[in-house]
Amino acid sequence: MIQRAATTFILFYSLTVFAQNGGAGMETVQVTPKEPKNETPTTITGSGSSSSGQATEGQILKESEVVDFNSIKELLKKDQLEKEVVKIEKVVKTEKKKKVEVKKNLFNIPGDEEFWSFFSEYWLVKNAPALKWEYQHPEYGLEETFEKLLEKFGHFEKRFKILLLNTTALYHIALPSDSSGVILLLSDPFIKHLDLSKLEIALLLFQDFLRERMGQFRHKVETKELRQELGKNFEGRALSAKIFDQVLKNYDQVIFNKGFSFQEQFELTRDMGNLLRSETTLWTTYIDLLKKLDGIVKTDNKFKDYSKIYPSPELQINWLGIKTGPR
Amino acid sequence: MRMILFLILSFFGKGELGLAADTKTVLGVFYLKPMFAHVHQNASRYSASLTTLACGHPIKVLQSTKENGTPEVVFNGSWNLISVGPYEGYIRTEFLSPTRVDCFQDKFTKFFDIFELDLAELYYWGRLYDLYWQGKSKVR
Repeated sequence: MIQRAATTFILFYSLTVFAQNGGAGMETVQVTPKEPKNETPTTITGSGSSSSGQATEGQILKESEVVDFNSIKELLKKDQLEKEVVKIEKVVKTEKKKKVEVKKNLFNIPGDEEFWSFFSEYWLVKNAPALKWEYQHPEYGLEETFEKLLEKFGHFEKRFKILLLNTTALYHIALPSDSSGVILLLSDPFIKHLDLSKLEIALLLFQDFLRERMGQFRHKVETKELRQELGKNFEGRALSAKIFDQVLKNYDQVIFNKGFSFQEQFELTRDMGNLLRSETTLWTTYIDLLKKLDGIVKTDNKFKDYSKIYPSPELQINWLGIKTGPR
Repeated sequence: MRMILFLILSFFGKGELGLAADTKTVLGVFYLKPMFAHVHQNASRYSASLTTLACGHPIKVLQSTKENGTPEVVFNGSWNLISVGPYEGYIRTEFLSPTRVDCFQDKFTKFFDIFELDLAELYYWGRLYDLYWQGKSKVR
């Protein structure tokens, strides 16, 4: 009777310790005799009467925290503790699964929604000295004008970030961001030289915004390797940094050298025309803007590369059905 | 001579008193929203940077009360006086969230590590958020 009471107490103690540890050590369960004599399980406790008899203190402590439930199944059944064991085992299993999941998630690669805003900013950071965006920016108050333009053409709830650059290495461009956002880069000396009005600048930005929405930039910089990786997980394998180096190079190529094709420029101009034609003020302002751009490209050597990136203001004017002549 | 010394001491004493009268109390703990941001010496995007913080960093927002004055929380239109570790400075109000934020670098830890950003790049990333002119079109 006393022996039975002692065993039950030991069992409770072991279960409590097991539950407190969240099942830790379960995977290192010590082997206990599978068929205990006299139906009494050989439970190893911290009492010092270990099965080995010569176990060290550390071993005793470790062994006391683990229980081989299979070896005491019968007794648990009798004491109606089996349900409790199942419950605890379930909790342990869930916890373990969660831990594995958390560990795996560390290796997640962002999908389209998060990758592009991160990477466009990464490119801006990498090119900070060349782009010269760290200077005292003049307050043009473009945000409000641009917001109104977006709303006028049905682009609601779109977030934008405008960054002025103190260089003409880049004239203006929209970099991809998340689905509801865009990063707009604008050369300060360029707009000053052209003496653009607030509305003209906003239209220039709107044109870039549309181009980004059309995916013209993204299609050019994205590689097959990158597409395969976006939104995936790379646990247990290496993710090559070369993939991202290539995308950085592609950004450079498009922004500084190759620019956009005639076809892309035509499609964009056509869409701009369709949107603006019915809005007299905006239409005339847009035409004036294109004429200014055409003028500067033809007359100022500093801006001769503009047509290489955006071919070409003169063609745009023609596509819109406007006759060009000496300004 | 004593009179001059007294006047000098009074002058500095008054200065010290003036500073001491500017009491600051913690309004609450907020969390940084952008990927990186700077704590500035003054409430201006062009003011010197005291330190760069990463997204999710807890920040104590302070309320400053001058002697016989009303308490101030927002400075220069859109800045908060904050305390982070040994630094006390200003940060843009729009960068602060009252609740914990979902940060890119925490969500994609191992992916982010691949880029091995150095200190200069962290600094520039923070400056980027200082210098953006941000906006959002309205809801339909």
